[in-house]
Amino acid sequence: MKKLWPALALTLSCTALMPAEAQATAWEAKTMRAPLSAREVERPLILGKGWLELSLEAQVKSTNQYWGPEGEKLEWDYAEWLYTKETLRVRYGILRRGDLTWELPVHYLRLQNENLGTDTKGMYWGDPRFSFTFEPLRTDVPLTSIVTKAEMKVPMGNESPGSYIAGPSTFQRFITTSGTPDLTLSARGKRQIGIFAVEAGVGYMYRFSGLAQYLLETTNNQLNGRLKPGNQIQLDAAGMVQLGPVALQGGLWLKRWGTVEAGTTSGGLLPNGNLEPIVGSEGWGWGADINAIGHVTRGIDVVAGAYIPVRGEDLMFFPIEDLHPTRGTTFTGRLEFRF
Amino acid sequence: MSRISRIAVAALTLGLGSMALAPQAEAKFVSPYNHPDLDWYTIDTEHFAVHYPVSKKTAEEGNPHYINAEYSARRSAVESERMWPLMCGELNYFLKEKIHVVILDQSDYLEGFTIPSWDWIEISANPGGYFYRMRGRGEWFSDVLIHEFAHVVSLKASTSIAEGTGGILVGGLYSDGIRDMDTGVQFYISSNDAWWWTEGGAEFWSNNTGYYWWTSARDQNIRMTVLQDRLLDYGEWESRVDASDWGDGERGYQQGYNMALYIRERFGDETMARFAIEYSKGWRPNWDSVIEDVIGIDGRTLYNDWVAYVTEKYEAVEREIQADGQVEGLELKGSPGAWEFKKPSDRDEYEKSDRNERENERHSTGTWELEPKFSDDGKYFGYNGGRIFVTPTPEGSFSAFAGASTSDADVSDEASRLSWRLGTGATFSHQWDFIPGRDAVVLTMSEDALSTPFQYWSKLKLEEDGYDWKQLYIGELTTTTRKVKGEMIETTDPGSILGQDKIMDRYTAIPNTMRGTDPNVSPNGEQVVYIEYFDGGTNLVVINLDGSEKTYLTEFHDGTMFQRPDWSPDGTKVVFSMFRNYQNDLYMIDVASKEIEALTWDKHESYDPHWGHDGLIYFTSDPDGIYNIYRMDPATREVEQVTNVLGGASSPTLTPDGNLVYTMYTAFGFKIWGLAGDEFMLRDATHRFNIAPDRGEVQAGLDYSEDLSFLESATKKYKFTRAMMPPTATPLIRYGNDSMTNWGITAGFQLFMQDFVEDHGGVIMAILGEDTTLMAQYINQVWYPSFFLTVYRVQSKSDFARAFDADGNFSTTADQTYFEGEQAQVQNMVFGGMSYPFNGNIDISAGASALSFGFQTISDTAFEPFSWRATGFVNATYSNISQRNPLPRSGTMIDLNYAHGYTDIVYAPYYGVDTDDGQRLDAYHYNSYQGRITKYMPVKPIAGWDPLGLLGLARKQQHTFSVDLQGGYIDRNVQFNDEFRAGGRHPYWFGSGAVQPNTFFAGYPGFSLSGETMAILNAAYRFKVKDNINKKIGPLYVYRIDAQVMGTAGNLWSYRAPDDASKYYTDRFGTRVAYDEADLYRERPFRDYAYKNSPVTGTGQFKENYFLYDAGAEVRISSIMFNRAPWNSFVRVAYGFNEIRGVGDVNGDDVITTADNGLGDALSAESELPGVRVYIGIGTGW
Repeated sequence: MKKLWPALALTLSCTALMPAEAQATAWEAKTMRAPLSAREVERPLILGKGWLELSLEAQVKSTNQYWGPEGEKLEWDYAEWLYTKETLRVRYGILRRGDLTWELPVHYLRLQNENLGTDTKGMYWGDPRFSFTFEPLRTDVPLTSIVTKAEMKVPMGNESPGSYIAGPSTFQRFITTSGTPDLTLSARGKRQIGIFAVEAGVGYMYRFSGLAQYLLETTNNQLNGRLKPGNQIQLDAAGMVQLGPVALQGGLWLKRWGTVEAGTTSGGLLPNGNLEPIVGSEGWGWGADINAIGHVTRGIDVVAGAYIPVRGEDLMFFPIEDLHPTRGTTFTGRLEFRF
Repeated sequence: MSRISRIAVAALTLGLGSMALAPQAEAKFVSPYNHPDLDWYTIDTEHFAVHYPVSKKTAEEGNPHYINAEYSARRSAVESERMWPLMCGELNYFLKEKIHVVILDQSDYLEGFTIPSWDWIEISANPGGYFYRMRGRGEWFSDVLIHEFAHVVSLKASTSIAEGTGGILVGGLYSDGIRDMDTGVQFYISSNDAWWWTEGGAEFWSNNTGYYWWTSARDQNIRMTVLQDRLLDYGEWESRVDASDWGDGERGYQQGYNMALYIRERFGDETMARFAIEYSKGWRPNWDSVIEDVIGIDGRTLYNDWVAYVTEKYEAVEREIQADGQVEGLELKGSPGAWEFKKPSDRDEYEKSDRNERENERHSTGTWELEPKFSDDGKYFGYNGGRIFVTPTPEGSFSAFAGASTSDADVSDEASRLSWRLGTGATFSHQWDFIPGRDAVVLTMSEDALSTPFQYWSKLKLEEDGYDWKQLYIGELTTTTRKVKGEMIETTDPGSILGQDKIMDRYTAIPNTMRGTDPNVSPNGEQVVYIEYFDGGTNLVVINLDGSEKTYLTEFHDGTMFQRPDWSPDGTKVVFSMFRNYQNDLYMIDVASKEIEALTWDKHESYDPHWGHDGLIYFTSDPDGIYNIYRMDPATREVEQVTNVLGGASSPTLTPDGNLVYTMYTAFGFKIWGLAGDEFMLRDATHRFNIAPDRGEVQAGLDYSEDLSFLESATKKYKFTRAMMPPTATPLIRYGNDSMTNWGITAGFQLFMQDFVEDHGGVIMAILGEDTTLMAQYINQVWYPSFFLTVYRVQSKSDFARAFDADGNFSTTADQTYFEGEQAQVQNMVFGGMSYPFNGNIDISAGASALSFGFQTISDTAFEPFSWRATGFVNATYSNISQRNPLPRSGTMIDLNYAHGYTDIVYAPYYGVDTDDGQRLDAYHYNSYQGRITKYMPVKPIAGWDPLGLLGLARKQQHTFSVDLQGGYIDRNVQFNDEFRAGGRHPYWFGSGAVQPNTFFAGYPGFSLSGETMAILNAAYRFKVKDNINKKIGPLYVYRIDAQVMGTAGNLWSYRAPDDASKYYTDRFGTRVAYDEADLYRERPFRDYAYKNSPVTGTGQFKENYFLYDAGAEVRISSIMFNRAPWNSFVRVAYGFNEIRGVGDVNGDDVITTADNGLGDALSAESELPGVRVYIGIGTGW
């Protein structure tokens, strides 16, 4: 956790920027702003018109575990992989029934390999995402909220591994993106029952192809190659209980990764005609996700959680977490500010 | 080498894009001038904060432009608080946020607007001179505030998109390099309430809260609009298109107001508010559907019902007036209009003609013709048509008074030679007067109106203080004698620009009359009575013509508004109209004793009094809801009705022969009419006015001023930190491919914030994706120039393929191999400087920038810096272009730029040097000079010559010829990134100037042409294809189509490596490098071909391009999307006649060839054949 100083610094900076109530006109509450419950269990799956939410999130996974080709749970005894993702997320309730989300991650990554005697580390941009969430159905007491969401991920993270002169294992820089855009369409529902709530979602991610700087393609005398990650399906379901100013949430998730394809560029808007499937690059996994949401005020929440994969698979793209999530629990801490 | 070429193209692209970030001098909403001479104060009330200016230096300290808007601010604060519960109650929307009202008092012109989501209302303290003519009352503060506050509440209550953003900008550009086609699409998804509802609603709620009523001025607007068939049609009704014709803006307001009253009558009091509530439930692409959801019938049916209602209503009024006996005389000025027909077939022909043509014909006799009058000696006739037009035309020459039709041709020749056009923009709508006994007039002009011949000719007159107040002038009706067509004639035209001094000599400013307007000269010709403005109110002043003996006849300081003072024939009294304490009446004042006497005391709107030489007071009033001319005997107070018109009569003046000239309101403008003395109606109207008010009541009204001093304790010095507007972010979702297989999707936002008086502003932009833009800009508008500082980083990725050819001959393909790749580029820039509005036409700016550029490929662990550059620049822009329909019809724009640059190549793999045009470049200084002149000329008959009538037809169809010349010179050989560039550009990225007219060479690939010397000339001929289309298609309203054809000639020339083998060596890339830079050859424009864009043939010879040419055609469609956002589209096709080569991926196939010609440059071996390039912009404007 000591490597989380950037997120902490950012958090403190933002806190310092928060003005005192009514000091500056710019931050006055507006009449058009929708009501917002102080309790998570009563909150819909959209933010509400006129609300601006800034959140700072840190995710950490420190592991020496990995998945085998058939989902075996394996470990290195000579290597340690630290994966962190620090995300600034801006969410704005642009419509009564819709909000926009825009998030920008940075990564601090480190791989210590005793066999090679290397200790590679660095900080990089990740891939930003932007999405629009629309709520076609809502009842308020008790709450029922059903949303649909369209999300785009665009490749801004680091694609260059540095010099390949001495082979791929001598990379100097971590790759923090697949180098390709994604479009995800999902639906999610939440139903409140007193202090309880249940929530479930389903999503499909179409992954576009793109030239990727980390991909060397030599068969056809290419300098770089074109890659199309496998499309993904995800299902999840969770329950929640509100205990005073704290909401506890726990659930399960299931993911299916499709086959990755690689090759050269063909013509057309979807130039995938020359791509060949990479055998064994598909897989599936499931796991659990638990969170505790503490309400400091109606405008400030603190969230702590863990994302625990129970089953995964070797998808052949280590250490590109975007293509190949490694085994290990990811811990999450998040501060949410709402204006 | 080709890699660098590619990168350089991108770098320059980004650099140009960044120029759009530089702020314009006219950064403030209303005035281009900053005012460090003012302090600002704030009155804080429960729901409002009112900010107002006070001069730092008082009048006593010698400040000729002393401002103190304290009363205006206090009055606004009180009015605002009074209207708050009423207006919020109308929409059941009680505001939590404070609304900030900024009082402007720096100029003498009417202003009033709001941006509700910014909680911002800005109004001028001075309403100017014509407000009451359109709206019918003189009360300014409550009228403007209630209207703007109605907007604030109704638009906040109805907004379906949260106020933190105005909307979402979604768009993209797809460039197909193989098909040479760029297609851009853009949508701004925003609120789309209908114009009639927005403006009509603001008027309506102002009515419902008791502030407005359906005045006679509003009624005459709609009455004549209906009767003269000028109602806005359904599409115009919903979408604001002021481009159509005269009066459409005001027509839209009043048409909406009237519609709202109709809706209230038919569907109930709250129906208009229910539209707001319904729309607030969720954004919908077509606001129109709100109507159906609320009242059960669609908008078009509602509109048609209303049209039927008002038509029936006003046709009944017309029948009533005709039955009563219409008394109005004839239009005085010009020939009988084409609408007055001698036989039915003429009328049929006229009705078949284009609506716009018909309207233009009716507009041709003027649209704002006010204050007609003859000089006392009957020698001159004049009127205020925006300027004062004076002609030596006797009364008897006009058919209105001659009793028979007279030919204008009889008088037109002399009238045209001896006509004066006096004044400036400040003259508009103000009273003026002849000076008895002199060939001169007194009029209102702006204080900075006069200039020397050099200043007039060069336009180099500095506006040093940012003030241009109104002032009184004397204008002499002088003539000159000069030779025209071999004959010496007397004329008012000096005949040349240098003769302008003769025009300037006509004027003498009357001292001590700053902020004075509406002069009227005493019968003895020695004194002027006029209206003087200060802090939201006016007073009556008398002064000698030489500016001496200034006497205030009144000393109000409470928002009192005077109008049209006029001397009595004996010179002892002045009659005037005054709005005070919410009531408008006629009064007269004894000049010696300053005793005021009310002539009327009622609810009628009586104004425009004129004391005729017959001793009677002629004035305008509306006791029956229609403005007519009445006359009152000041002794007996008996009143007679003089006219009985259908439109509206105002500005009456009795002529020396006892006739009446006045202004008639029509749906085509305010026109001058004449009524012969023997045709006066002279119907007793005494009983319709309160002519004998209680003197005590009148005096009490004169004495009463509301005490606003309690606001003193709520007043503090303005602090911008406590008056920041709510930030507004625009989400941006963009698509921009950098190759035909690359999905360049990016998203982010632009955030804007400033304080309410616009001293400090900032923009932050973050767009993330494969192409990332991060930008922050601060603008300071406190001191005379505005200062800006911009920091940005642009990072982008591009896909490409490289072709390698084993034998270097690309005509044989078997030995070629292709390599795909992706690389990233980055550009960091700091850009700061100042801009200053030198005057109304010229802006100057200066500043400096520092830019670094680098790139990253697979083998780079970080961005490799390639070069950095520091630049200082000075820029001056002159423009007198104001009219756009949709492009300028006339005017000139001149842009001059000088820059000094210092560039250092630091690319480590090249050991910090680069070769360009035969020279090894490391670090160097250079000077760059650029100029551009664009001139738009309306096509029309040339000095009356139009043998075939085609030029006249072209004028009707708004044909415009334009030329655009662009030149540039860099004083040494520079690296490719520093050279001038040309080639077609789509406006999606580069703004509206990118394709108009055409000097970027649309017939050639973007940025493919480069060099240190540039000369490009374009000519274009544009014409209207059709206007008044007025088609509403869902959320889209299409109203006009234009087309243009154009052609371009020019070139860019550069340096060449020496041909003599002893003078160069070949570097490791096989390019020639001169031993001595003196051996480089600079190509001479017009004499040398440009080797950089001259392709190499199979035999190694150049196809010499001395000049490049293109020709093209374009169709432009003007439309409005979502009722408010211009959504203009175009298709342009341009043919480049020359085969060229150039830099980077010249042929646009995303494959860069690596073979080069060895001349020492960054050129690829590709060439682009002559051919067509297509630019399509769907909603991307121009």
